[in-house]
Amino acid sequence: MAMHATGSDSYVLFGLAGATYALRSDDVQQLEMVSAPTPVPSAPAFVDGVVSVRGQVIPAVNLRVRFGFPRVEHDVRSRLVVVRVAGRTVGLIVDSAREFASIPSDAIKPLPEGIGGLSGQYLRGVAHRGDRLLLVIDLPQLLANDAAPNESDNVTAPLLAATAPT
Amino acid sequence: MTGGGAFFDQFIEDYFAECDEHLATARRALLALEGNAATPPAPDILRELFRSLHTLKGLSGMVGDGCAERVAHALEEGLRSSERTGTPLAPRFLDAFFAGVELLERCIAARRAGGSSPDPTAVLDRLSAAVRRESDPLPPDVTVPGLAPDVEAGTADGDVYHFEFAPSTDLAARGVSVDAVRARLRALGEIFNARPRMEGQRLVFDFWVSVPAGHAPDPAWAADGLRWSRAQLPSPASPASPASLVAEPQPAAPGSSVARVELSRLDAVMRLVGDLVVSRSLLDSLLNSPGDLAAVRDALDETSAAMERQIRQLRESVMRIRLVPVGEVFERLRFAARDAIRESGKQVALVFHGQNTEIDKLVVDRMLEPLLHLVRNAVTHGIERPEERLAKGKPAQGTLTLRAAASGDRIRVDVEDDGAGIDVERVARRARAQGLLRPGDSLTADELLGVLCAPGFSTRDEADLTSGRGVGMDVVAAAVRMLAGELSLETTPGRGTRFVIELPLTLMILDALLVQVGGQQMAVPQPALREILQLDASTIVSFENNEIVSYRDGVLPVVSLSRFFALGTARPASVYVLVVGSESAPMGLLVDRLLGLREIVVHPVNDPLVAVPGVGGATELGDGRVSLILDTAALLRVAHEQRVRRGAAVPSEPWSAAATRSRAISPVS
Amino acid sequence: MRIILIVDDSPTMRRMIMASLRGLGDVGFDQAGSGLEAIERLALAHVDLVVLDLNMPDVHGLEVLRFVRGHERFNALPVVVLTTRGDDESREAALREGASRYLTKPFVPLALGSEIRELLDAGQPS
Repeated sequence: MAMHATGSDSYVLFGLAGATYALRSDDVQQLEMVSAPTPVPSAPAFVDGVVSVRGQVIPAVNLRVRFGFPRVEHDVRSRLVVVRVAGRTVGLIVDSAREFASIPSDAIKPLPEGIGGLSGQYLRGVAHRGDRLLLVIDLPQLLANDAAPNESDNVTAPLLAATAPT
Repeated sequence: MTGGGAFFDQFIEDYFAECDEHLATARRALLALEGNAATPPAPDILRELFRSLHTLKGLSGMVGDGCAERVAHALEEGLRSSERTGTPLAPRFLDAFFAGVELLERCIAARRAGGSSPDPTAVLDRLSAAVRRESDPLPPDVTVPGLAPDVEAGTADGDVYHFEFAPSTDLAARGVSVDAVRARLRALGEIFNARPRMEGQRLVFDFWVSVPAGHAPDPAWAADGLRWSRAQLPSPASPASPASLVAEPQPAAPGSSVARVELSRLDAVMRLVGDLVVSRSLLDSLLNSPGDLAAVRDALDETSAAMERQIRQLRESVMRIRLVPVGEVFERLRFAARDAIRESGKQVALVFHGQNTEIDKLVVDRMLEPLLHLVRNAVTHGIERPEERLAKGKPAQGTLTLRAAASGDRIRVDVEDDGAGIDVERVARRARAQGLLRPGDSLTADELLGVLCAPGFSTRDEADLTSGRGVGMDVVAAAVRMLAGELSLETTPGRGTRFVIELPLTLMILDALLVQVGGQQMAVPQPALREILQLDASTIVSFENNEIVSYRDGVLPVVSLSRFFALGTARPASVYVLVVGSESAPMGLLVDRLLGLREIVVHPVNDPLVAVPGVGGATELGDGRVSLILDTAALLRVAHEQRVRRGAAVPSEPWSAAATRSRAISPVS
Repeated sequence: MRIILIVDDSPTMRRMIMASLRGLGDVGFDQAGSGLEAIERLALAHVDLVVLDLNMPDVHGLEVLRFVRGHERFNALPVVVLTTRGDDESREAALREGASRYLTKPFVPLALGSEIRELLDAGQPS
């Protein structure tokens, strides 16, 4: 997938714990309602289990847990964002996902200094859209299966504060 | 009319298989009759229908299915009386006949499922009432509403050939029998007469075949006892003989004597054949053992039972090998759609494409109900009433198209109507009312299918009962998912709707035992099971960080699956132990409950996030949830390593000699 | 050993008939699924008795019977018509054409067996 040096890409926006994240549309296969995943014993804690989508059985990653947020019950707005990258198909459980947006590549700014930690690792950068802040996801990093979630290392709130538009 | 009772129960599977064939023939014939209802019924179709019913009657009587026998008899009688009048069949009669055949289907299905037979009285009364009125003259310009007439195959013009076939034992030994010859001739053209005659001591068969232009008999046939020439038509049979030396009935679909086979199924068959060979040699050695046969009586019984099981499994395996043309399903759909079309009062033409596309027999069996639902839906909700269509500038008759095509390793089936399209706003309103959509949110195209397939969702109005029947879109979605397929939907307001089902061409299917482990359902491949034991939990002995139970003359190490998978629930008082592994190193897997045997479709589970030792795949059990499939080999390996690491003493004696008796698996039902 | 030719277009029915007659002991079976096949088997192989269904796809059972009775070679062959029709009309027609017995389905295995045993015994020594 070539990144346009100039110009815009289309993104899928999803909500998680009050913040809005952005994923490149090219990487998103589809959006599904969430159904109860089947737990897979010995899988990492942020993997809620497996679900069946389009005839394929794929892992369902609970992004709240992955980012260190507390779990919530899913409701009618929760979505499974099915992403496909490097030959892998994985589902991401998020609070909501209904929007699409076009983001110019030069609008994506790198993360501010000093915001390190876990969640920052999964972000490529941030973009402003009007008065909204969009956190742009780095998908391959997100799907790397090494790390265990660090529930105490919730950095999104300071991140939001630090990157509020001036 | 009593049959042999239980004596013929051993043939019940054959009976059901034959019933399927004859019912398919009857349905086809009925549809053909209805399609041409304005003219007197074609004698060869009537004959084919008659014969199917006749055979069904006979077989049903033999296996003691009184309901089916009665219904088949009534249908046969009804047909006979209509044959006599020689007038076009009245719609009332056809309706009653359709109802009769459906009732017959239900009788046989009830017997198959072990349920009680449906009450035939209402339908039989309707049929006899219709038959009595058959002699009423028909109004001159009767048209049958609803189904569009089938397109008839045109009779090609060409030549008439007279074939002579002299059978001999040599030819028969080579496979050239009159049946084989007849098949060849049928493939060449239309056989419209066939007779035997004796030339002195020699038997000769005469065939008269109408061969389409551009075709000719294969000269090589001369070596197979065949002679031929362009012919005069035979003189008509003498009036004294019954009109029974008749034209050969043409099979509706070109029969092929070659079956396409899914190669991996052959492996399964070979394994079963291997099992049978083992049983057979065991039988031999038992029979040849010195001394009194009575002493080995038990072992003989057991071997016999094992062989019976293996033979049954072999037969099921072979049946699973078939790839069948999807056209068979389409025809059944046409038959079943008839009801919905008539009740709706709409005009709908059913069009098929790609009937010869071959799909797995299992897929055919599992897709019938879902496709039926989509078809009924299209008729009930999709296609508008004729007046509405005309007002919109559309033809009064709607078209429902079923299309099948193979592409790479997928099969695609489309169900498309040219109706009103899905009213998205109405679905959205309903979704909001059912809490599937937040008020104020609109329904996106992506979400539409998800909402339609949500369990319990329905846009059925109170008055509309036809497409209910217990199958909703959620069942359609579940069936597609279970077959590792994909369902999608395109709809345009005013123009129509198209459902697309994509299915894999090859399915990996496994016989599995479903078990419950710590609240989760899991599937254990049946070939991996050696034996199943039921035990009191109290008999499990903890011994150096392991658990064992006494087994045969020794001990069996057991692994608690709920502990292995960290499902952490308490152990019930009574547990089941699945014995897996090899003869010399078996192991027991502890599970809470047995849930039954099932044929499952295997979905690979490959992603590194969930590639966990002991999990060999996943399957959908139809309740919308995914169940994990156990990889017993990996389990054995990991459990063994764990034991070794913990320094456990692994019992070193081999199992006792008692284990040499081959004991087949007998799952607790 | 006596050879019984079973003629019926339903494979299940043929199996049921053979299972019913196995108890007779010294019998072997040949099968045909249609009238023409039945006639072929009669011409090519030795047959001691025929169990014949009437309703068949190509040649009606009565025609087979007529063919059999019309040729010296098969004239004395015992033919048991075993058919689903129960009306007197076809019974008369069958007996007129020379059927040795007219039996109907469904049948009781022992009854079928004893009728055929009788015919086979009567046929000895040919």
